Amino acid sequence: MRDTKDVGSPSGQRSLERPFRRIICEFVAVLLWPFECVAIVFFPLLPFAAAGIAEFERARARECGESVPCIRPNGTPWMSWGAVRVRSFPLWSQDVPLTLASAFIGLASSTTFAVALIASVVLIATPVLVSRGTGAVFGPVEVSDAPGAASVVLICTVVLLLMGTSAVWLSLLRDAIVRAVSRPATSQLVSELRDVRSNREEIVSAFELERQRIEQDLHDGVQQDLLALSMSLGLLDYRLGPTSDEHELVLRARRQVETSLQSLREIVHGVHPKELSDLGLSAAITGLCERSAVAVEIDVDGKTDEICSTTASALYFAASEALSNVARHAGTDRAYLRLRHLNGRLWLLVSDNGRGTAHIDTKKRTGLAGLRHRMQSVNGDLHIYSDPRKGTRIEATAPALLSTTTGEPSHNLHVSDEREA
Amino acid sequence: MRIVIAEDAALIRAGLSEILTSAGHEITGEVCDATELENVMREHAETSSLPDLVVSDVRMPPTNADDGLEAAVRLREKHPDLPIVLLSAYIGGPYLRRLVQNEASQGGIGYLLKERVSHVREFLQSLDVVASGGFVIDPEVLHAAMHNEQDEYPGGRLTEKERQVIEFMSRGLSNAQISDQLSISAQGTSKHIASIFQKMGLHADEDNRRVRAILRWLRT
Repeated sequence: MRDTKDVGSPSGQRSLERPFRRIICEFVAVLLWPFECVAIVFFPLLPFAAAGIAEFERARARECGESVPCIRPNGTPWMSWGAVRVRSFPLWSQDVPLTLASAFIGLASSTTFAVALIASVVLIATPVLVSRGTGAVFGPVEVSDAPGAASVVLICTVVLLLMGTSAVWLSLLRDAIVRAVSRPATSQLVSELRDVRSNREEIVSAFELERQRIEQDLHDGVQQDLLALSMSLGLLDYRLGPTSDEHELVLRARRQVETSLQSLREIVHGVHPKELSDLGLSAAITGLCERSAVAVEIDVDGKTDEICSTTASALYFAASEALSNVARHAGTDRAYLRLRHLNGRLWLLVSDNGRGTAHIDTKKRTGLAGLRHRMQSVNGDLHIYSDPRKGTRIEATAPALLSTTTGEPSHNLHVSDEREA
Repeated sequence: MRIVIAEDAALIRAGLSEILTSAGHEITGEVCDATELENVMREHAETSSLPDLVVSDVRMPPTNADDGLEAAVRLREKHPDLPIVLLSAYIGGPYLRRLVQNEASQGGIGYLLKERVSHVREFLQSLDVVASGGFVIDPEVLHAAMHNEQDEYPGGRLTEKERQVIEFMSRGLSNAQISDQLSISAQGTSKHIASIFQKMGLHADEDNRRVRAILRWLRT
């Protein structure tokens, strides 16, 4: 049996091995059946056994193609997980009924396999006995010649096929029971997922606000100071005149300040570009295209008000990274960028006719892979279609507004009231 | 010159003021947001004492988006030959086009990145160029604004050299400086300029051909 941590294979699997796999699974279930019976008869054992037996049933269902989640988290030792599970409600709403049903079906399965076993024995023994000349005796019927043996073989084959079919049907019945029992769990998972999503949105928003605050502090504080310093040095140079001894020194000092300003501007830009908060997503992306090393054909629809700032930020950096990729890898100097706002959703497309070597390496956390994570964190997504003949398309999309389950209004792009000191 | 300054960051405003007064200019108005700018300019207009030049930041209150630019565009509508120099923290190509779009626009437009101010001698020279009706556009802003490659004019397409010449003209360089930059003779520069005028359909008897040529180029 495969390891229980694999989630079931896609239910669209149409390979021939499935019926055989089911039969094998039923056989294993039959092996387990005596233990199930013991657990039921000695009912104090039942809760403890139920957790493990239910996990087995789920694993069996996964083997047969159902997508049933594994309840026990990966790597948790059985004993400690079992101790926790026993005290939880789902043990009684899911695991115990599953065990009881499993035991009933196990009875039927055992019978099926017992009959199959007998039929197999008869199937093999009869021709042997007949050929040896001893003949075989089934109650009142005696079989001692070839046609008789042939008909016995035929009957046994038919019985085996019937047993195989009933094993498959019993397996399907088990699947149905696992599904029925797991349904409450799904709704619980859904509600947990909703909680996780809303937590993530809050964290992402808080992070975004923090970045904006940092960017603002840097811009209004340090950058101003450096610019003023640079101006003072320039004025000093002007007053001293170009022929003074100190001219070179002052110029050097001013150059150093300008380099710091440049570095600071790049850092700030990487944290949160100012144009994004001041001018909005369209203008910021247009500016990005203008500054890009490749010539970009821009198609931006201007209706980009009412966008949550985290989403705008994610899309901006998606565009930025996509254009960088074109410049770095595509081997072409033209690109096409389209931004649309339709039905409360934003759609970004960056495409080129280059070498088509882009792909997402999901193990990395930077570059395009990091972008996909970032888009997903605002409930959006990012896809890359890359083909050496046709070039590369990078598509990113996200809802324009993050809706939080707490019912608070979503953050608007112009957060001017928050910034007034 | 009599100059009005509009800049919201106090340190930068003080620095600008100091640079301008060191050069002997008179600061007739110092404001820190776009609304104030328009008020002050209205007062000056009423008393017929318009300044010789306005130096304004692009990004200012009240909305901190592009209020300075909007104010500048409105001022140019009312006074088409009022020289204005805009200072910007970021490049913003579309802004430039907005500024020159007005049909009645004459010359006298400057668009510089803020850090250019600390190159005091060049900055002061730029102010003189703008105040006397010329253009001084920051090269980085030009490149951002002029991404298109169509230089189709009634008379034909501009050559590479001609494109360079008109770009230098927009940056406020004199013919002598252009000759230096391109390492060609003064006659060479004049020939290119004449060719530019011809391709754009600007006849010899039209005045202000230089300004018109630059405007036409910026508007495409």
